[in-house]
Amino acid sequence: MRFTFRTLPAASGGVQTPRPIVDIALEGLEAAPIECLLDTGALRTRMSAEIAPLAGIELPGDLTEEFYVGGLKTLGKLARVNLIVTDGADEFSWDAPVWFCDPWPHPFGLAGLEGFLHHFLVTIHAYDGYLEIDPEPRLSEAQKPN
Amino acid sequence: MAEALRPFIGLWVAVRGDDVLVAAPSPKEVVAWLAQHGQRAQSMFRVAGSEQAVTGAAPQ
Repeated sequence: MRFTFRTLPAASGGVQTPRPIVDIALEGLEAAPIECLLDTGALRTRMSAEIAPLAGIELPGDLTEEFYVGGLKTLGKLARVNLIVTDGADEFSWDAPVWFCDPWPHPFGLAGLEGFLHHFLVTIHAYDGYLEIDPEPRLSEAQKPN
Repeated sequence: MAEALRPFIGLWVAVRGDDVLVAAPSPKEVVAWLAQHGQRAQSMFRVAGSEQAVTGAAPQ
């Protein structure tokens, strides 16, 4: 699956440099995939806690962590969820740990090692402004019907 | 696309291709609109109101 880098508007009136972004849907919220910035330096996959109830996800609060993001102290709550990514032609879903955070300063989610990168072979063609993701072959085999 | 989003700074939007399907103050309202109109978005996100919001990254 190929995803063209995407730009975001800047408050200054300029345009941000296009960056690697993948739209990731939560099971139960397939009509509104969440824009997620590929964050190769991040251990976790994180999203705004506002999103969880919209997908019917309960955040029990027994696994939490406090951390700083963008200079803001926030609280993340862990939930295991089914995530789905599609380019319109192919689709892949997987079970992943996602940390839902409140407050969440970013306008997008962050796709990190756990929850996303562990599940794909990712090739970043930064010069040409796109990335390719292919399901990790062993996980892809596991999804095929017998 | 960035230019098309500029009027919606601070709002949550659902987009498909270069089209903004809906913009609202909360993701709940965006999702409700999509359900009510039988629409499926390519992507949902909040249009950043500050450059700081789009330049940081997670510490771990």
